[in-house]
Amino acid sequence: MNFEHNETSPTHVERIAQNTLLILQEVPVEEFGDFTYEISVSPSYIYVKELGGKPATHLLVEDILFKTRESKKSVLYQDLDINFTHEIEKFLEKILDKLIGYRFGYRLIIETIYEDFTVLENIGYEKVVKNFEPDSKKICSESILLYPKIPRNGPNILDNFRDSRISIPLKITLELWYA
Amino acid sequence: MKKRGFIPFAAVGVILIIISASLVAYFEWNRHYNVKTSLNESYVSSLSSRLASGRNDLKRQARESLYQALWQVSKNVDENGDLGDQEKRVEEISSRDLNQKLPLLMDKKLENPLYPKLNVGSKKPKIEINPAEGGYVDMKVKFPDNTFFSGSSPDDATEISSYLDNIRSEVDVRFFLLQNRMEEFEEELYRVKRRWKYAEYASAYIQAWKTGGINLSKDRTKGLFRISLASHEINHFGSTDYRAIAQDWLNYFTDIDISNLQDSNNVVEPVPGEEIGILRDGIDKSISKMRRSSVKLESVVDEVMEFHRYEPGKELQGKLDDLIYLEEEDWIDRSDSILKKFRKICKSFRRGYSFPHKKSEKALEKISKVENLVRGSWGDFLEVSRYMENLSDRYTVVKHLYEDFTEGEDPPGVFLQIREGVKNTLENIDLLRGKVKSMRDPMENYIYLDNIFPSDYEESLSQYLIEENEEMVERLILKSVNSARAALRRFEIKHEKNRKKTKSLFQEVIEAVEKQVRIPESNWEESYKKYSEPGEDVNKHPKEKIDSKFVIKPGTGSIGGIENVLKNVKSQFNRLGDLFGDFQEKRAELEEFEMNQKLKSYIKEGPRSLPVQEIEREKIYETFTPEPLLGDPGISVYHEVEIEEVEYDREDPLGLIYKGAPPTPIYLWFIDTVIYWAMWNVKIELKDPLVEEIYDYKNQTIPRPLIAGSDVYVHKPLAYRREIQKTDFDFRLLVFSLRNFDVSYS
Repeated sequence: MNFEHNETSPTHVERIAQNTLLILQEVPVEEFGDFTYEISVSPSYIYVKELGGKPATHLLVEDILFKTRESKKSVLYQDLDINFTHEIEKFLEKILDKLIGYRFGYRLIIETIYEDFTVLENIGYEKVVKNFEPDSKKICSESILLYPKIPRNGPNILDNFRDSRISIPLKITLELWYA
Repeated sequence: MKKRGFIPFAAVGVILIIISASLVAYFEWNRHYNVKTSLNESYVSSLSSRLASGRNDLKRQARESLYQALWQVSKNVDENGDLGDQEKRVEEISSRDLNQKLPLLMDKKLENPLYPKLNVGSKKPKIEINPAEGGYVDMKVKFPDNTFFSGSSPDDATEISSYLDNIRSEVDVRFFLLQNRMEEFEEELYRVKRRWKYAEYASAYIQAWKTGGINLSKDRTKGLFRISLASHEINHFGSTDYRAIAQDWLNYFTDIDISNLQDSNNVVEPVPGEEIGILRDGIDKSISKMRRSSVKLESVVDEVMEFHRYEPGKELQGKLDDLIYLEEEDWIDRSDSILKKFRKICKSFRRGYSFPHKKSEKALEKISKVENLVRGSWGDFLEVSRYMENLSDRYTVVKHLYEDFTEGEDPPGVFLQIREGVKNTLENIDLLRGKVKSMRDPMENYIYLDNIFPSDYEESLSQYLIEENEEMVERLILKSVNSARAALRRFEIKHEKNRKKTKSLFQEVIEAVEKQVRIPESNWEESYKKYSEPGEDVNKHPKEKIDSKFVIKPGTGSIGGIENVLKNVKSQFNRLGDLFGDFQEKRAELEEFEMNQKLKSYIKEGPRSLPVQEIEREKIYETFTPEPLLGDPGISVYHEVEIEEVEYDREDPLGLIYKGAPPTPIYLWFIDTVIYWAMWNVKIELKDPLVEEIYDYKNQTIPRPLIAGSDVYVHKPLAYRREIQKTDFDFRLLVFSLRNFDVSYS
């Protein structure tokens, strides 16, 4: 069995996964197309935001900030709808399809870890973006960890001596699947 | 028996077992080696990837810190000193924020083998910022020595460390662009005043010249100030707070058409200096020709006098004496000299006979030249008035001046006077020509005296001298003396007779010329009050004045009269030029501007409603940032400008008496024109400092709460907010018109 010359060899596949994770961290998303999302205040008032200069992981981290805190909508914006999360999912799929989709199936899992901790703070986050055949086999799994920092939920405590933000460990795992 | 070379079966079996075991051992070892190598490679690759990932996460965290620091400083620029201080503040805040995050990264509670271990030295990392291309921010995170990420394989067999020196990244916010544009905006804030002034001038002149009354409206002044501010904003930021402007337009600009501002240039520029110069040059040429015609006409008198007072005896007696002397001369051996002298005498007699006629012809020739000069002068003046007529389409003040020139009855306008004057003058010149011709005609037959002397004496004398016929020579000279004496006598009698006959004509010619060239006495006067003019002490009491001038009345035209009127026109043109020169100085402080087409369209459509009415506009702009009018540089604008007070202090002499008084007149007596002027000190006082906030519309990248205290986050553009402390703006509005106008306020 010659591992070195097989494109599904563990080392080779791991490197593909690792490089893909690095691309998600380093390459601005505008390299893969325009990334926009909409804020709609009412059906007649839709505002479009364009974010092209940030890498995908930055957007994911910002999504945590947006998503984990949007439960409390402003009374002034009753019909406010921000489709940032949805657009990120779509865009991640687009990126992964471009980078690895033509060779492998994939599953990208983004999740906060240390459940007790995140549940306590009500900041749990999980997102899965996947594209593989049902009869595929997982051939590799690579993970990275980020530490986004978000304001604590609940009433704001003005504390001059302590940072009132909290770091959440965010694990990003990329699995490659092969049929 | 021992058999040599033969191995027992047992030994062969042992050997085979050993060989088999060795082969198995070798393949097992080889497989183990390959797996181990592969695992090692995998560990190293995985570790490297995690180290890179840790570094990227650190860069992301630094960028987040910088976002927040930039937001904090640039939203509160006034509290963060000048430009250099602002950058330092950003560096301080972002460095502090990053340093607050680092201990959390090293928190044991959060430790995870997936994240490389961060080792920070004793000193703290520092963020530095510098301008990058396009006004973006070049971020540099400087880590202290011995800062590194490290990680090891699960079996601790492999450990990798990656030292962090500097992390560099271009951050997607144009802080330096916003900072520079705002700095320029504030440095050139005086241009808002210039543009506002331009708009006020345009508005005032349109009213004064087109409607005959100026209404100074506080609402309009407020609107014009805001439009000027908008124009200044568009100039520096490529956009303005057009929602606010559209709302202002609804509130303030009910009585003025936007397009008026576009067409106002000719109004605010009464008469350009070069146009006045061309008019003055034309008048100068006209005066110059009239002056030359006057001199030429005076010289006609000299010519007439010469032939009229001509005395043949006085002129030719000497020549007759020469002839008599020739009779006594010895001509032998001197025949050439004698003939030469004789011919000279003959020539003098002939010239004498033709002299009066020649002089009269010369006089007539000069009269023709005078006529041409007068026509030329009129042509030049006509050219001036045509030029004025053409300018009338563009410049209202010239239109009024042209009307003053070409209209009027008592006295008639200058153009009418000069036209009448030239007509009379040309008629008089024609009469003069007729008189000179009448004097000339009788003198035409003087030439018949030639038949008496020298007749054919020259040829005969020449013949006799060649023949050396002494007797005939002496006889011919004697005969010629008698003939010359008779011719002279007859010439004297004839000329004397003619002189007596044309004596009255001669007097008439002298009188006619004198009448034409004389500078006439004033024949018109009027009293008026002389008020102070712009630039003079307006508190002085007006002086009662009586001015007198010469007016060309029908049938009284003369070269001197026309010249007089033309000179006065020139002097009044100079006066006009001076007054407009004063105005031009004030105009130099005006700044012409055009309303942006998109802004005009937006205003016409009317302000669109904001997504939420209950939140301050400024806060709404942070999230729903309006699209800039111009794509480049892609900056949106918010402003707060509340005008508390508008004042118009009248400063011309009549206006000092009461604000609504008519404008103060300046009499341009010679051209029968009055310039009316009024001046105000126009002041605006803002209620609060002007708030200018600009947004990096192209980079809406900073995650911020929707509104303060909100849990909902959105991406917002970096905002740069200034409170500009200047609250008073004022300028002097000087309005000229050649027509009286009403003054009112609302």
